[in-house]
Amino acid sequence: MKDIYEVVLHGRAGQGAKTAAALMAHAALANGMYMQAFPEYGAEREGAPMRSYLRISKREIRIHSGVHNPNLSVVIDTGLIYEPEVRHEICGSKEILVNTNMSPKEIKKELNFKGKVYVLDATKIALEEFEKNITNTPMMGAMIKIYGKIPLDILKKEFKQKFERKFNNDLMKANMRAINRGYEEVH
Amino acid sequence: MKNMKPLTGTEAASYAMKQINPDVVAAYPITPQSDIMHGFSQYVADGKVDTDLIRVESEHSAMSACVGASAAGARVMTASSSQGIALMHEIIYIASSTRLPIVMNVVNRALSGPINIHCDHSDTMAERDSGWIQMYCETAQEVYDLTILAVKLSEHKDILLPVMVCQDGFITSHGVEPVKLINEKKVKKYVANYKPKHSLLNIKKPITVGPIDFYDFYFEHKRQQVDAMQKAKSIYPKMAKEFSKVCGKNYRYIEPYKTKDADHVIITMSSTAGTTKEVIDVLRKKGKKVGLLKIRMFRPFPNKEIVKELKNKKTIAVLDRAASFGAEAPLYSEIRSSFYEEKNKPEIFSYVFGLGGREINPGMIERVYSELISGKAKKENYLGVRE
Amino acid sequence: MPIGGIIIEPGNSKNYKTGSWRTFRPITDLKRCIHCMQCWVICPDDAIAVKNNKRIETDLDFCKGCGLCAEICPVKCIEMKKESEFNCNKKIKNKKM
Repeated sequence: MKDIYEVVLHGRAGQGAKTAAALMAHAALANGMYMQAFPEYGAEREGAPMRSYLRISKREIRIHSGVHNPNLSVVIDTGLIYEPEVRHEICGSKEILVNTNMSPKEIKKELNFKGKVYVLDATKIALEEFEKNITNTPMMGAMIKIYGKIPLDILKKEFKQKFERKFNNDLMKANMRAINRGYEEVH
Repeated sequence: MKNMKPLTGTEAASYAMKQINPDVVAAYPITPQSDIMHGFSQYVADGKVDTDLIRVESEHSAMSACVGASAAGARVMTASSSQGIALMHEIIYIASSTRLPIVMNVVNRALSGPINIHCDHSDTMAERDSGWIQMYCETAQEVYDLTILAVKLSEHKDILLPVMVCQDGFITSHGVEPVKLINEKKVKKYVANYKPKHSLLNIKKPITVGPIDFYDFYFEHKRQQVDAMQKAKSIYPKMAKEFSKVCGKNYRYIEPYKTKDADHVIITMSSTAGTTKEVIDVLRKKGKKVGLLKIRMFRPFPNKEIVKELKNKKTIAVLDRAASFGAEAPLYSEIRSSFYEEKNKPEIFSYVFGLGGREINPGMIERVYSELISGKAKKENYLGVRE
Repeated sequence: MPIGGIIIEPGNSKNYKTGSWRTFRPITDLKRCIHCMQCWVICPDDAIAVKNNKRIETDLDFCKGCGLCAEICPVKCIEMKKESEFNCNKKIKNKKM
């Protein structure tokens, strides 16, 4: 479907791939677009590889099956690029965004991928900003930059709304910095 | 996009419950329903509802507490899935036979074994003879709207039957979609206060609930239940029309999509209907005359309406997300039965799909249509299984 | 496929290697280790390999990098280091489940 922008996020349960997709969907709706975001799990526990899907469109989205051959594949957990199933899936997409300290050229070579590769050292940002390897926040900043049709401020606003009860001031600021850094540092 | 909130199916259910503000909710967690209760218990904790939330030790206890509370005269709601529904099975029958207007959100999940947490309709299909009204929702929007409608439907003085509002596990329950909300005052005005004719707490008119009922009267009580279901069928269209003034949409028991001039139609329920609509649009551009009839109300079964809508079609493929071992798949069986009296009936085929959360994608649905069109469809099919 | 979902290959969870989940890797200085086995007791993944009543290298096919071993070690001979410092290209092959 050409009029639907599709994203697959690959992560492990507990890393926030589901929340990242959901927040992007919130931002899309706030920006006046139709959206859909849902997870697909393997084993029901932390650490098991999982996917979450995101669709954004100007018209109502009625399809309810998983996304294949998306516009963008996002890999939140670096190690997943070595999992054969994940590898196969991400190579079917038009563009890839990987959380890694390798360069786009190295990733392209590693995956033998013909499309555009974006990288972001989200683990470094996460460990620096909140000392935990929860990389979905900087990755969201990067995704918004790559998609290009939703202003970053809308995402930040949705994030604040969702988490203001859960996070204290410092943690919220750290997350905002992480989103900003994701936006600035993706390349 | 105005007044639209991004909600998952579970958030839509718990928000509807919040606006309805039931007297009692007794529930036990189970994936993928738990989020409904997480959301609702937050509203309870924040003092946004007056509900007595009873956290019980199992689903059997949950439905038991619901039955007790409803018999006492409270407006009662709950939620469950799969093994939880199976565990409360005996009390589910008691709820309907005692004619208690309980509304339960069911997040459809496959029944074990082996253990599976993903979507299929085996849990509610196992309760199709229980005497509960069953409605199946395609989207989070339908979950929200139909949860509100279900309260009014169950409490109607000529119906007084409990209602299951079903949504696909993970697909709808955990999927964020735009949902248009109704103003809370309008919801409260619509559902109004529950005024039971008989209740245990009405000490001026004391009653006994749940007595022994032998062969001399049991049959008559069951006959009353049959009548109540038939009344539900006849009363529902008017209720749906009235509700459309509140929510903006007329939720008929069936929803046809491009069936008027279609030769080949798929019949299905829940989220798969959405995917089918996308496939229809693609095939229609290629000149194929295909359509969809989505079934929203499964119990009572709208057989006459279905026949009226589809009697001149060439073929029908019934897509069931449940199997009935040793017999025809549930929805397929109902459809075939509905068409039995017709002289010229369409050829009807059974496609069981998606068991245990096996994906159903546009490619597979296209294959169903092409089998119907080419005349190569087999009577019984298992779509997406590795034979 | 065996019927009823029964698993007829005993102990086959060994084939599902979870080492790729790590963010941090435990590096043990075996010269300073006193072989008290507290790390072996506490490891939730049974990833501390033992030979002749002495511990040897951590089994990296299963170690998820939780850090409990480093936390409990009384002589602090285990250090958690960033996984990215090591050769990331080490491919861990999984059998299909």
